[in-house]
Amino acid sequence: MRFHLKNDLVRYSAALSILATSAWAALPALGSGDPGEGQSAPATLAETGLYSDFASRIVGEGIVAYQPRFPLWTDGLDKQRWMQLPAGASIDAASPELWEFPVGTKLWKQFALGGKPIETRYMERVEGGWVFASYAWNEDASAATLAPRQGVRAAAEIAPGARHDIPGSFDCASCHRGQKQRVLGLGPVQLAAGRTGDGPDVVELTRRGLLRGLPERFLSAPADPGPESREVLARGYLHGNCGHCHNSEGPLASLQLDLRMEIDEPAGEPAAIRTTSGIAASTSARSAPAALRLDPGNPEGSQLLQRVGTRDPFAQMPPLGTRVVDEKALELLTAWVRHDLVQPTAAASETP
Amino acid sequence: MPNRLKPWFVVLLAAATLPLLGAGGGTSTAKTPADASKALDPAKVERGRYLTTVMFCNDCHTPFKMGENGPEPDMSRMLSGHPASVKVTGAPAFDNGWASAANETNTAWAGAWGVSFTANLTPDVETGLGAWSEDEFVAAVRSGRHRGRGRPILPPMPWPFLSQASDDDLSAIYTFLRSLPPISNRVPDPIPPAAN
Ligand code: HEC
Ligand code: HEC
Ligand code: HEC
Repeated sequence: MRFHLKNDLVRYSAALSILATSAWAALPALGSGDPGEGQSAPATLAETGLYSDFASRIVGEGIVAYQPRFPLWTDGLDKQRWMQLPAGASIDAASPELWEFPVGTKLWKQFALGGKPIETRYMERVEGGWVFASYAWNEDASAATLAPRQGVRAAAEIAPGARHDIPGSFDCASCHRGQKQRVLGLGPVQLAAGRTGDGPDVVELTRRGLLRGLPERFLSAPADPGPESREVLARGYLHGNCGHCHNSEGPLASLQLDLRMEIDEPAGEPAAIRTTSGIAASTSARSAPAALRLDPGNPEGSQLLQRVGTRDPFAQMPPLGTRVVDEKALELLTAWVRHDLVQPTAAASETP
Repeated sequence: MPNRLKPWFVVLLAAATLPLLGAGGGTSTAKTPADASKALDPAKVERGRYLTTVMFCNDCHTPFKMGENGPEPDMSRMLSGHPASVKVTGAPAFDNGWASAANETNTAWAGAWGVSFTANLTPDVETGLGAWSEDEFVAAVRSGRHRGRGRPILPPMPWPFLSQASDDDLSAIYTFLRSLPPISNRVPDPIPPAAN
């Protein structure tokens, strides 16, 4: 199943962003409700302290590279991520799903294409919240400076005709303020014990003294983890790419669409299946018209897959941060819906 | 259709509105939001009514009808957006420097963005803002994205200016909109611009 971007849609989205950006440019800074709780970020990436030697890009001492188990798709760009805690401080994981990061924590996520950095996103834990910022790299990759609050359009071409935009500060908020936890890639699911992939897991972070308080039962990896099942990979993808907006605690809770995975999943159907499989969609769009969120065995009749498979700006999911369909993910999710999801039994659907 | 396939909101609403039905709440077609039983602060409602009026939300969100003195907003359909019954198929051609146009109800707007239709701002759950929290309303106005995190909101919705309102004022506008009678009117999706 594929949805083709028509020329008119490309033109359409171009017209949209021109209008939105020019309107922004004329505006004074906003006061209240601003991401970063009113505090400002350093003017250059160099000043955030990521590199001890900027020219040769040597990462500073005590800065830990990590990778989430279910990364966000950003049109195939390469990403590197780092964290730094203040000396001697650690993340408090006593509440396993709501890690508390010490004031002074710094997190970076760098986007590159063909080895050339494009932007470096930055979060810093300050008293009362987080500062969000992005730094745009110059042509010869010798410096990266704070992007304006409305972002930078067409910062790089990532595929023929598709460009990468550096998100504006409200765009950071669209994703990072859709649930209680602002940090999305460091948590008990994303760094689960024994997870496959590079970088430290919760066990390693605990060993290094960077994480404390995580209940013991989350600190032992399965003896023989083996490859993750298609179901776990599919739900993991939804967790990493959708769950920060679609959950049961944030501003979109009223949609009753919960795509998050939990470390301590209650028995029974996981939320990502319970709130999608055989459930009527409450919205429809021209390029995502299917009536059901997911129709077990029938990917073509599943609106969720249609939304993942289109870049029509009026239907695409996620609604921002990507212009190219994640074909591999679409394949994975399609196979999951076709083969693994089961039609609710007659008995189950008869209950009032 | 098995029960499982029923839209979730119908089930949700049945539960949420049961206590209201006895008191005669709700119209036959429109659905009242779940929090409708909460009393709204009358002073805030009044402040919101004032702001909504002077910031001329009605100019675009209330359909116009032909009155004795010419076109005027049809206040019996206050803020219910582009009427579903008024079909609009595409944008007129523009030249000579013209860039946008509105239809006779002043609720369908054509321009470089295609055709946009003003939203139903009444608290009807299925077709209006009934399911929106205050956070979502504020985030939508401030970010220019549907429900604060979805698709971009099209012109001529003046969100870049409205986004500069204070938290208190946006809260008052939201509260006033909650106090409106819910009107069931499903506004069509925007129409993309024609190729070329
Ligand atoms: C489309 C949603 C989306 C947008 C827009 C977005 N982010 Fe993120 N961000 C994520 C997700 C999901 C992760 C975790 C997964 C990953 O790293 O791949 C993440 C990770 C990060 C990280 C690493 C720490 C963490 O939370 O895991 C930083 C730093 C970051 N983002 C900063 C920003 C900034 C600054 C902006 C705006 C300029 C921004 N992000 C915009 C979704 C988004
Ligand atoms: C930045 C926030 C955000 C992210 C991230 C996001 N969505 Fe959405 N999604 C929305 C909003 C807002 C709506 C409701 C409005 C609309 O239809 O555009 C929505 C609606 C939907 C719907 C329709 C729900 C219904 O029944 O009406 C589906 C399905 C969906 N999203 C799937 C996804 C999937 C799958 C992902 C990840 C690949 C995702 N979304 C990521 C914001 C988001
Ligand atoms: C010049 C015409 C115009 C005026 C004045 C106007 N609007 Fe709108 N509004 C629109 C249009 C057109 C849309 C639909 C845009 C779209 O579909 O993307 C809209 C959409 C909206 C939405 C829905 C956004 C969403 O996320 O779907 C809200 C909320 C809204 N307007 C509130 C207001 C309020 C409150 C006022 C007065 C303070 C107002 N509007 C004044 C034209 C207008």
